[in-house]
Amino acid sequence: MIQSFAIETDALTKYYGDFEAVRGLTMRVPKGTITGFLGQNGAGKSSTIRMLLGMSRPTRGNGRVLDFDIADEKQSIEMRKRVAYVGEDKRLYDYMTVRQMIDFTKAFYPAWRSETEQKLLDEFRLPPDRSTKKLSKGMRTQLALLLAFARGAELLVLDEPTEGLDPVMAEKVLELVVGAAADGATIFFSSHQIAEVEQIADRILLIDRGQLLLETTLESISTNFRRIRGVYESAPKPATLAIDGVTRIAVDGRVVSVMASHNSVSIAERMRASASAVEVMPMTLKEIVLESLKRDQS
Amino acid sequence: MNKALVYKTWLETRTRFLTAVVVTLAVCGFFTLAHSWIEANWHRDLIEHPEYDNPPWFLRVMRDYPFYLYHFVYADFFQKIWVFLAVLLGVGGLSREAAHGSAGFTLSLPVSRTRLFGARALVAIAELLALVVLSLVSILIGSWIMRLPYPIDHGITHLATLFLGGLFFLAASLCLSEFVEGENNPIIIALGGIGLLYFVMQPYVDGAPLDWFAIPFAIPKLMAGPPDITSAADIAWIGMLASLAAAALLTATAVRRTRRGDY
Repeated sequence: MIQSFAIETDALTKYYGDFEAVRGLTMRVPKGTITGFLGQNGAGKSSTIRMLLGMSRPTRGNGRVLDFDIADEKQSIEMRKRVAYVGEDKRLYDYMTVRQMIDFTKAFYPAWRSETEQKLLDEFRLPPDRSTKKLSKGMRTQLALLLAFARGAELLVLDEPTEGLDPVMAEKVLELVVGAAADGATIFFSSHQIAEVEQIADRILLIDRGQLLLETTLESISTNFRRIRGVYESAPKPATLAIDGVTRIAVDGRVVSVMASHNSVSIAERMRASASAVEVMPMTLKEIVLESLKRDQS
Repeated sequence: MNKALVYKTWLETRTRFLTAVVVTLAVCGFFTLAHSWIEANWHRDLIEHPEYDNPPWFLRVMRDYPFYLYHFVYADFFQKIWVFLAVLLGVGGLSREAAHGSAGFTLSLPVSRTRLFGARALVAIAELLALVVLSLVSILIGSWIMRLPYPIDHGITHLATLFLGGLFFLAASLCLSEFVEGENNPIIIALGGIGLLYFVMQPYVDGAPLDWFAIPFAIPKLMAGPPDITSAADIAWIGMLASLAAAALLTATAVRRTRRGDY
């Protein structure tokens, strides 16, 4: 079966003056998945999202969202009819009330889900007549999420959706995200909270300094990613362990630690040939992300 | 034009518009309702201080009510305020939203940037037009209350030139808002420009014949028109068309910038 993608980019590049925010990013987000978009501050996540949604123009490369060309204004408008976006800062119009924000947004989406709107208004306890200027950051985030979820979008692009929310509300938002995915929507969300990503995502994309560092599934992490530690009489040269699946090698005295993205059985066997002891351990997403970022910075 | 966008722009600008309404009513109301008081003060000054070196328009202003309105409302005091109000109504747009943080939400809507700009320009023009009508009505009512005969066509003609000239400043404000980042920076820069126009360039503009370099700065003269307009030939149509062409050029530049900008 041919897999279709909600988001595809090919060598997507963005310069702001001399600063290269996104460097030849090539990635795929399959339809129907919940994809966590990870990276440190300034890694290029928001710049990538802004290009995908037509807020800024790619310097080079191209991209498609729901099969619409992101660089073509007409296609971008068609795409945005099917996409909901919650930005990083969640700022809305200070001169509107909650009700006015809802009515304004509703006017652009024929498939607006009034029942979702009412459900979320009740759950979030948002006061319809209050000016958005007077909403707390958490309430503003809730309103932004309401405006996104009620659109009935095919693709939800969420930039740090739980930022500013208390743990209970953050959990509720994650439930909503999972619910939207269960209804058939594709979710693409950036987050600093690795635990959140681990909780709901089925795929992750990790970028650093504008480049894709890791693209994998949560299933692959639990079944394929391993840390293999070997104790040697005398430390081997790292080049001798550069075999398929090894993504990082760290040598600390006589102890060699290897991060394997796959092929861990063969790697462990190779190490056993010369090591006095070899230990194979599963890795968490957090460990993988931290290791990958270390590698990139080394 | 999308009704929702017009509604959004109206909500965004209504505080500024209502402020402009209050200022317009106050200024036009003052110059009509306080005419007798101002005139009495001038008469007293003439008698008590014959040594004063009065400007050339002074005596006519005292005896000719339409000229009095021309001088203080259409050509001088209210005109400066009018220009500022036009600038104030034009401020906004995606750069301002980017500074505020709501540009991401706006740009995620399925609507073209040209339409976003169009809604803003349309509402600003409508608001400026409403101010012109309000100015005329307040002058007519003020004159009627004070039992001062005032020909309506005099008011319509001068306010029409004021409105057409105001479009240039509105377009400049729309354009400035797209190029200058920050919520209030366009207003600060526009204020500087207005100050330069009225307080630095006017001595050159008042010269006759007009210095060549002062021609683009003669828009206040153009907006006021001559004091006695008796036929269409009295209006500087070429200047007016040049001003409208400049407004169109500024608007086109702003649209281009809106379409190409990164937010």
